[in-house]
Amino acid sequence: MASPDLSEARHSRDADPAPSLFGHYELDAHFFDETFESEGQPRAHYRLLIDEMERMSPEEVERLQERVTRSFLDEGITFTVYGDEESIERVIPIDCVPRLVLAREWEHIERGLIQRVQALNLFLADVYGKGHILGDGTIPRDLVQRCPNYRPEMEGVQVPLGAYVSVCGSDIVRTADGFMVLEDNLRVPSGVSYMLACREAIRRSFPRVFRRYHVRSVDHYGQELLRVLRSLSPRKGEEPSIALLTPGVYNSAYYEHAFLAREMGIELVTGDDLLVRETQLYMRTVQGLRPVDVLYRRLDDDFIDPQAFRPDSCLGVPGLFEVYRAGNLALANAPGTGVADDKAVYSYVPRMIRYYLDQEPILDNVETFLCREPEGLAYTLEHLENLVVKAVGESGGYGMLVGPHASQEEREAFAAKLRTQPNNYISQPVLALSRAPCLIDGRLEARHVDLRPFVLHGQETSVVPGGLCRVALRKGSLVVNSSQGGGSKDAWIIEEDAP
Amino acid sequence: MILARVADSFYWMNRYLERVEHTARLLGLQLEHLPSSPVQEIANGWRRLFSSLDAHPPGADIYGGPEDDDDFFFADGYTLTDYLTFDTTNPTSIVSCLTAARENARQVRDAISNGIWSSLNRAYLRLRDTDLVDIWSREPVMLYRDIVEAVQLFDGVCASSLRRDAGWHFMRIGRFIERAQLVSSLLEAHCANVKDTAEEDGDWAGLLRVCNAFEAYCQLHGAQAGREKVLGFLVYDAELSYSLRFAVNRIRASLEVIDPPVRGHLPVEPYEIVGRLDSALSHHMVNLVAGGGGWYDLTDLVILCRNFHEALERTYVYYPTEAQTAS
Repeated sequence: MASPDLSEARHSRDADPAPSLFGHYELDAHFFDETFESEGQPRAHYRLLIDEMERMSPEEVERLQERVTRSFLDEGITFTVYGDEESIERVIPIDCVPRLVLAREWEHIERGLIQRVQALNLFLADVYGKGHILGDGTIPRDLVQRCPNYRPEMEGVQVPLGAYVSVCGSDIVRTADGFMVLEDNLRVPSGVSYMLACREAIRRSFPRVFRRYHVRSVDHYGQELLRVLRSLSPRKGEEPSIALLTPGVYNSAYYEHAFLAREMGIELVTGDDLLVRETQLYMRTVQGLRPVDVLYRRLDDDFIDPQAFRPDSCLGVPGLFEVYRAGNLALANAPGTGVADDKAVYSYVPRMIRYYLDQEPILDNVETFLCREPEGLAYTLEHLENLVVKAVGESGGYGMLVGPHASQEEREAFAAKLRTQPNNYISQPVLALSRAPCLIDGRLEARHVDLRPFVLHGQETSVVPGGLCRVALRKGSLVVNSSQGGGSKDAWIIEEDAP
Repeated sequence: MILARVADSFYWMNRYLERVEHTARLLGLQLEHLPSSPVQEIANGWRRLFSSLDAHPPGADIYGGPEDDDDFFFADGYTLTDYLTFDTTNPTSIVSCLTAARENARQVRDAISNGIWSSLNRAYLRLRDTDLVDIWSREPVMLYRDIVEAVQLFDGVCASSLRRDAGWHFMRIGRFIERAQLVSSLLEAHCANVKDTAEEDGDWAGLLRVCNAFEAYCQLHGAQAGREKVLGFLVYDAELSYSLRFAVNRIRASLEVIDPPVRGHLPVEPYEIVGRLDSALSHHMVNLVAGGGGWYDLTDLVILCRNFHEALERTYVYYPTEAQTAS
């Protein structure tokens, strides 16, 4: 009974006996902590935020968190979970404590991403064009051409500005070794509306510190995206007609589609609104048909045109791909970009950067073992309990095994799959993702985070300074995907000497 | 320029909201009178309410047809209120209509502001989290007042933030065609209930209240509410926002913006139907008393409203697309 007495004695001497928000915050030597250097010692740039939060009572912080969640519900920033009887609308959990990124750290990320997206676009133009990189064996031809997301239909198609990937959302993780790219999302990356909505809600919650930190603005994302879409238009010298193609209200990212269409002032269309006549795409208005020049499509390749791709798709537009091939329509992103964010092709991105740009990669890749290669498979099977194994064709955290968290049986079952279909898998070491404080049951606890900035590529390449910071809200979990119990945070890019 | 689907959603969103407001007004009034009215009058009230909404009481299929008085004696006020308000299996309940309005708003989420969406979404979330059990013993009337106010708030936010473009006018058409149809049905149901007894019988003041017109009527005609004056007011008065005359004028004005008439061209089909409604009203050709000499009964007006709806959808939403590409 000695220690409780001591702590009571210490508390009674304090002017304010209320428990601190950070009182239970635990550091773990295995993981880089974004906020604290050591126990009770915040990093210099976090001090202002921590002081502000410690001035609030735990109830005030809870209320602030409730207001943030409520505003998301009112605005309909929800995704729908479909059950047997009824569907439930859920708010993606938003944590109210922002993550801070120093300007110099950001500039490193920014330069690295711009370099990466430029190389990836050159790679796509090459593999669907002359195929130099495949011809000289820098990247194995069969790895690329047998990839499920390779679209032979795209071979020889002229893509406006060579911009295959106009919108990219790359996932950046940080470990004790620094920042790394975990994956590139080059097909229909989502999350940017959460970044913007999050910013609005969190800025409202911390108005004073927000101003004092001189947080870089993300508000111009819509305008930047619109500029890129305009630059792709085949209708030169005239105001192009631009629309955003959504799968519809039942898609989990529908909120984002509507949000972006509103931000840019372009039409939000579904497949039913569109039709093709004489190799031109039209939309049905109350005054008859109007042409469409640029389509920002938020629909996978498979579904955009049942004549060219999946015949059972009822979401797309028959004949759309022919219009595209004829050069009468621009698509963002171009079909076939998925080959460049394939999890096996990923391991070659540093080589692409050297090949096309003659530069050293600014951002590192995560070490990746290809199970299609005998050494890679052997290594993976031998070290399964220390590796993350991912299926190459999947995304969103599906079809993966986190070795250290799996049971013996699960690992054995997975090993059997690896032996029968090695081409389908890659493995990576379990990353010690950095951690940041999150409000859990009224107090702050450390959770693993990553960062998804959004890169835009048209005539130029740019990155909006910020990103969606994704959080693995389950204690100890390393999986940040919203489909797997993840949430998100606002990410503030701040000047070095701001506070 | 507005997408056909978007115009359609604007239109439906407002039809549903008009119905929400109308049902809430009817129910609020009915519940207000529950504690003080004789049983027969309460049953009459329910009958008028259901038949004006073209709805049947729950269990009508068990006890008999909608004409069967007994339905309204077997079913108690609580059950009927719950059915018309919270029953999601009843497509005309307030919650069903509000859900449908919200789904239509979600379809056009890109074309409406956050303010418009939130005003509707908050009303929906509030109703979704309310249960009749919780409010029945206290003041159920307040719920209906809140619902009416929520729709009015939505109207206000729209009126103060939307451009008066084609989208806005499709909203207006949805609002007023639903109103014209509901008011025609209500007047018809009301008259059927009165069964030609004495002039002052039949709760004409109540009818005015449902139509948000009691004060306006009193200012014009005094508090004496009789059949012909009340019906004439609700059908022909061009300055009363709940009258048929007013609704038809609004619809015609909106159509003229969407599709300005061109001299020498045949008017589009919806315009032609509005023209018929218009002449029925401007020449006072509607039968307001049994055996009157007019060309149109109230039922005919309901049918014209339905025809208008079909013509509107045919002309602007589901038109054929062959030979259209020249534009």
